[in-house]
Amino acid sequence: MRLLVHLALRSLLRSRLAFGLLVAAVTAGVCFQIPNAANLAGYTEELLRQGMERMTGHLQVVARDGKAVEGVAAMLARLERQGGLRAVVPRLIHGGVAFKGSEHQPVRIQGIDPGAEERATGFCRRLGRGRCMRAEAGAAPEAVLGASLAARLKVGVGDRVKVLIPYQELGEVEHSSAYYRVSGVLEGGGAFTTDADLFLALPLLRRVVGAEDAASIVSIYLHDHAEAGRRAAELRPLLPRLEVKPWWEVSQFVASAIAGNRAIYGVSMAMVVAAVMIPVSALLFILVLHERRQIAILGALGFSRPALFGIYMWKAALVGLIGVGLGSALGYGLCRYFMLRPIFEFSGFVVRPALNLEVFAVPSLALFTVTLLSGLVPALRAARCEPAVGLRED
Amino acid sequence: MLFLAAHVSRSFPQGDDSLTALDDVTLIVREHEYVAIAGPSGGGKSTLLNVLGLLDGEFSGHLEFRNQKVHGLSARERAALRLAGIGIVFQRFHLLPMLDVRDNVALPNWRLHGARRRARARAEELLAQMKLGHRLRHDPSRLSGGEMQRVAIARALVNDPPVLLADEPTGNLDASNTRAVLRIFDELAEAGRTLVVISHNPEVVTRAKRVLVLHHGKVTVDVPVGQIMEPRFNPWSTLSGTQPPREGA
Repeated sequence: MRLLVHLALRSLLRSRLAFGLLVAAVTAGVCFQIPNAANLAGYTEELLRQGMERMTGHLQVVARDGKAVEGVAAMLARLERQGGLRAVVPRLIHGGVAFKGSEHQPVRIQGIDPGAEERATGFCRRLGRGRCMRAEAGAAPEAVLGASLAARLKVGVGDRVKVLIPYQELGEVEHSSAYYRVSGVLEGGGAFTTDADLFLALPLLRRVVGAEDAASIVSIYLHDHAEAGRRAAELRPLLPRLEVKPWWEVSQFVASAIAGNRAIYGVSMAMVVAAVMIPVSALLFILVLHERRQIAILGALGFSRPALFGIYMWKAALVGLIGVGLGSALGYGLCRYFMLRPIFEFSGFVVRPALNLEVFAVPSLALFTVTLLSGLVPALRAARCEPAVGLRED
Repeated sequence: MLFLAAHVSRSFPQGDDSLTALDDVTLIVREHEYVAIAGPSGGGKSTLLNVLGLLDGEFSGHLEFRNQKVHGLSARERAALRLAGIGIVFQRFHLLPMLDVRDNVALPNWRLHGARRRARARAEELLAQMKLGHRLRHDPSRLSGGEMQRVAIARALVNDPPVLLADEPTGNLDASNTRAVLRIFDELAEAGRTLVVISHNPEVVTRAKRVLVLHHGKVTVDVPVGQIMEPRFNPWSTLSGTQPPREGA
């Protein structure tokens, strides 16, 4: 084998331009695809983080009739007895209008349990300004505003906003109108709607709208988003009158965007494979034609067809190894560049390359395999060279 | 017996027709013989060398190399036999441009035994014998024709094969280098190596002990070298076309 590698390397070094072009083709493919894969993986991670881990949860429990879920305390107790759930978070959602001076905005009001939200989504740590609202009984009414809502109302931490909340009582539409001190501003969640929401402590909102043990949704957070389907199936029998939805049914945008990412990755990989395979196989084939005399000489000296095949496969392997090595190094450099200068950044939604083994290993292994496959036909052609014919052609 | 060829024929397709390069050739080459094969261009000399050198397996008839039947062997088996048992020297040297002189010579030995150091040591020894010890690391393209042919001879001998086949070994050499190559052949023959040399150069042919003449793919003359210049056998006088009678050696 060492001899075959030696001959392959010497032969490649003899044709430096072709060798350089071969390595350049593989290097370009790898160094394009690694940051591409890393950015797409980073985009998927950010979608999951912003859209699911910060918002909907991996599973969502809702009432089948679209109304509020009742008996939440008992349900939470039942769910907490289940193993493997990272957090269970009830939320009560109401429409309302927020006023500040002459400014007013229709808002989605979320009643949240700040402690549970903090454990599940790091809600309080994500506040760009101020702190979480107080939830204990007797505390002054406080609100957290999404950053874009705060900007539209032109309010900051410490300001007071008036919030009008309609609700039904005995079949009549009533409304509550009260002032809330802004305790914090939630920094943006990209294109996600929390940016324009107004958050109140859950017990407070429950009292206001007269729904003491109710929640609009109960979000369940898991340790791994890939577990969502299985856990949803396990929880459904426990909650027969409710609907347990995995995240891709709750947030079809996130699901579609992730599926889109996969498609883009597949298409880009196919393009890179074609962009590497065509020139590499063509160049290797041209090399075989160009080196027919050398192949015939090797055959005449006693190199068997498998040995000749081996030499040309080693050529492809050396090109692949060098190309993948250089491409990985350059790809890593580009990833570092995109870490510093993200390809997408909007309102806290930042796409940075995900640097993990998979984003390096998959393109590298795929393009190394492609390079080997590209060498197959040229190597077979070399192995089929008849020494007597090759020497006569000279 | 080194080579036994019986009724060996080889044709090449030429459109709808075929060209017969060897036509029912029967010959024996014994161990330690020094045989020259002469004849006009297109007479089938190189085709016969390709068949004897196991480079061409597409012939019909019966061929044995060292009592082993060759016809029907796979390309891989023929390559293995060739590697260990047959050294070939070509008119155009056919050195590998990507290797230096030493590795050109060492290559068949490295392939046979799988030991680079040993192969290089053997190559250095042979190149020293060929008075090329100072050219070990040189690129083959920097050598003169005579030097290249001596490297090719060293390469053919590196596995110590029992037979050396040479196809017009002096065809590209000047008189001085021709004499140097022939001296090497003489020494090899004296040392007991079997040589089969193809040439139409009388100076080369007459150094052998036995001469075969191939004409239109047939062995028309097979005589000791002492008789080759007799008018009825002399190939250089029969090149104009009339086929001389076949005589046994």
